[in-house]
Amino acid sequence: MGRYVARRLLLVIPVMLIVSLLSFSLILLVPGDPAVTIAGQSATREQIAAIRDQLGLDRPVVVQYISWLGHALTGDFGNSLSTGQPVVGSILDRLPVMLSLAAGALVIAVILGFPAGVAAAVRRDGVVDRLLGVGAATGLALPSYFVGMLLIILVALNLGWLPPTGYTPIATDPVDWLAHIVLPCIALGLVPAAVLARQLRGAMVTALDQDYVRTADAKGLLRQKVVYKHALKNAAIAPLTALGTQFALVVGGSVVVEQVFGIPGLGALAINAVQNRDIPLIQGIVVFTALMVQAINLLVDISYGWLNPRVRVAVAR
Amino acid sequence: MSAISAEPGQGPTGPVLDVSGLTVEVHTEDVRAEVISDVSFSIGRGETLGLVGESGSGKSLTSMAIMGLLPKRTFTVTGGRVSLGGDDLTRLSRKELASVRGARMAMIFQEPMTSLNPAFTVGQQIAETLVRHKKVSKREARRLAVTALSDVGISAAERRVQAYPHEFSGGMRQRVMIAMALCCEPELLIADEPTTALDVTIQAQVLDLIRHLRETVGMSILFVTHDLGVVADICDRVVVMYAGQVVEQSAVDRLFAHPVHPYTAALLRSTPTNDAAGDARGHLHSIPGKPPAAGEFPHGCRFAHRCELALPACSEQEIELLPVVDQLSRCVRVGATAERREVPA
Amino acid sequence: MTRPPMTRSQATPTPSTDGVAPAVAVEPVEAIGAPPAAAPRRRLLGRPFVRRLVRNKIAMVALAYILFLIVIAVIGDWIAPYPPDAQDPAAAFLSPFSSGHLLGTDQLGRDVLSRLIAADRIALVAAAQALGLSMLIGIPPGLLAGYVGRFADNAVMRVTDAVQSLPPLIIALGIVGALGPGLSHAMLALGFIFAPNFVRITRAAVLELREETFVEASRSIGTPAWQIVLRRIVPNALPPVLVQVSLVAGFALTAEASLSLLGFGVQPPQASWGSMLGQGYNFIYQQPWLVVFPGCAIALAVLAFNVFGDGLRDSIGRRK
Repeated sequence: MGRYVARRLLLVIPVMLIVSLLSFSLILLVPGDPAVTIAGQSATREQIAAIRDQLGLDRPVVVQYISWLGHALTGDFGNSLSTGQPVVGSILDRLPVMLSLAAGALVIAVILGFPAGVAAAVRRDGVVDRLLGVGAATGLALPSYFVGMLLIILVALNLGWLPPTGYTPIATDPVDWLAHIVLPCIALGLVPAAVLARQLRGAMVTALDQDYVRTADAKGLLRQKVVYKHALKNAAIAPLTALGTQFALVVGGSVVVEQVFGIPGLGALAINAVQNRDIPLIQGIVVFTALMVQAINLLVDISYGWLNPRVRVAVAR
Repeated sequence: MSAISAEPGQGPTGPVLDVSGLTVEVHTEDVRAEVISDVSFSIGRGETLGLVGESGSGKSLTSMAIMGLLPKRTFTVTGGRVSLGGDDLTRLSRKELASVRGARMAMIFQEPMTSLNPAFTVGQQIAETLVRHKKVSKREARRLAVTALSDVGISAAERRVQAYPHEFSGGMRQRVMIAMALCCEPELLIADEPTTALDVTIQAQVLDLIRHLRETVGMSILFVTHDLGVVADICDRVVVMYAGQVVEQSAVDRLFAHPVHPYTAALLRSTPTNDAAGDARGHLHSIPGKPPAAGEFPHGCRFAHRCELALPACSEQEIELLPVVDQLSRCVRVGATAERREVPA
Repeated sequence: MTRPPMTRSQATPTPSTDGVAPAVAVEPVEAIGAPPAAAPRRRLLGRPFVRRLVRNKIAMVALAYILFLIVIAVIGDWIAPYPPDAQDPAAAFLSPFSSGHLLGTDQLGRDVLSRLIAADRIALVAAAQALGLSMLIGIPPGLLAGYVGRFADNAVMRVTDAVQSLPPLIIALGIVGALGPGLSHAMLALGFIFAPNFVRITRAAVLELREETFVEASRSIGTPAWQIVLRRIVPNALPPVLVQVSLVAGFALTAEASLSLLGFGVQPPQASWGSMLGQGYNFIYQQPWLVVFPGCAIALAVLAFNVFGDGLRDSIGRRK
């Protein structure tokens, strides 16, 4: 198992290298003279020069990249052009919020998606299955921010059950934190739930058609056991690993959902950065989210390796 | 074995398995057809009955129907009775039937590679049957699983019990299946072509194992196969099926020496034997044409259009399965069949 | 992102139900005996594929809706009840079914229905731009990776993995952040984001087709590679690409709406459904309906593309 993990870790490096290249080249995309464009219309010559100096824009591109990469590897992404604060610090400040949103969304996805997928597969082509098909299609089509707005209108404004916007850190008041985070997580979690339900249904239908399910039936095991123990154990692997993919999408979606719900997370930071053409901050956010996604995917792949007996046993022998 | 006749052995408590008039229909979106028609046979205590036929004859479906494993979405039992040790299985609820399966009757299948769950160890899979039916503790079940594995000839059972199915070869997996099927000591074992997917040497080993276990335990076996060589090897009596019907029933040596249905005779002729492959001129016979599919069964005798002895009368009305001395035959030209047969060396 | 190097533990399906289906099913054997000149898979683009698609009623409804949207985009100027920019401050925040305004008005008294119709064209054009770009950026590398293999394949897939591992919206924000806000910049970003979808699907199709007999035959008589690719492989790779087109259209619509909602896509006075959503949200207390209609417009369009894409995928059907 250890070798599998090590090999998997190594795969992260080329990906992150490419990501760093893409990230860095954002500065090259800035139209015209980057320093001038970034400084803005009413900038003074000193301000422009300061930016040029801060970003080291007068050096050859390759040198710029290597220097940037070198700094990045030590965790230094420079300072935000708008606040002057170190980029990494600003990002880390917002991290817990974003993580609670993303994790909460995935939890909702599992809670909604897993039972739905299993129920649909067990009575294939039945009422539940048809409903799930429609529900999943709708869930996939509704943008998460729109769902968020609808939830606000219905639950917060009309029914008054939950607060519409805002955020309380969990340390300050867990109950309030929960009250504020439920709606955004539901909004974010619907699409992953639909994806998960569909995938699980497909995997379960395949599993239930397998010979080993026939054997389990032949052994006289109760239907419940056959479905939930024998079929599900094999079927659940693929959808679970799909959660890793969903994480990336959820992170993206959280940007807009944070705006809708007034949550001060990474998304809000990113939007500010874009509005101010704060390139160092943007670069930092890009690399950081990439790193997070890689980390989650690594975890997912490792747990897949552990769940799949062929990998776990074969590598160990 | 020579004393055994076409009639089931009458042990102290009657036949272990009694199938009478079993009829099964298949229904898909467009088609509704009978796939098994009025199948009847019995198996006595300690007896091995061979169920022979080519693909599409309905033999596997029959064995699945006996176990109650036919998916209800596509198959319906429209007639007949199946009793195990006197109990009518067709009247049992799903839960009751689930208690019988695995405990009093067990089944092993053709594809050992895919019949075991890849996500659990073989020990877990054997143990779960024991826990389900024998009400033992998990630890006790584990211990019994080790015994079961060594009983089927798997060495180092203590260690192997923790292995996953993919770590075993095909022949070994079939042994595991056998261990799993027999661990609760069922009265009846249904073996659906258990050796077809294995190569010849392994085939022989598995058959040896089955024979050995049969002697030790005194169990009845329904052996489904298309391989006449295996039939000669291991069966006491034989039921021949064609196009969903039983066409002949005989004791095994009578079957080979004196087939009473043209289809059986044709099967025997088309099986290459050691000394005489085919007829005197060295031609390998095969039966021309192919069996009718369900839903397209012809009126009257279903083999008539491929039969050398067919007369117009054969296709006019349904032929019954009737006794011919010590055998059963569904052919009106039985006498002619007897003259036409060839005795394989 | 990278998938684990091992294969998943799924066995080959097919229980042996004697008498109804063949007792043992093997992997689909393509028509190896087919004459090399007639590419056997060309049937996919021919009648059976289309017939199956037409029989799929839901997919046809979805297609009808898509065509409806296209028609609206073309004739929108003529059928809209009001000019989309016409302001009428006295009639601000009217609810749906008010006199003269079927779907109500916004904060400046502009008619919502007319604005929705105008935004339809913008949404579709933007989606088409993003699609076109992503196909342009994505298909050639896919063809290259699939056909040439080895080093090229590796390199292309690494880059694709890297791009796909980033959350799409983050990439879009990065690119728009550097280039500056604006619809064309946003579409450039989306083109880049969705290219990996086409890289993968093209590569997969090429890989599958490369071993087909008719390609072997062409290769053996010395047809140059580019000709093989263009004449043999591309037509047969088309169906899965079509499926992807439909699905990516839906993604592109949603993504454009997100960017416009944030103010980085469409710029005022132009309006797309996304920017209407963003603006309407500011007045959610006064007039919630301002949010509902643009959102539903987006959702319905995406639903139509998804359903049609699924229908396409089903009617292509792998021969299993």
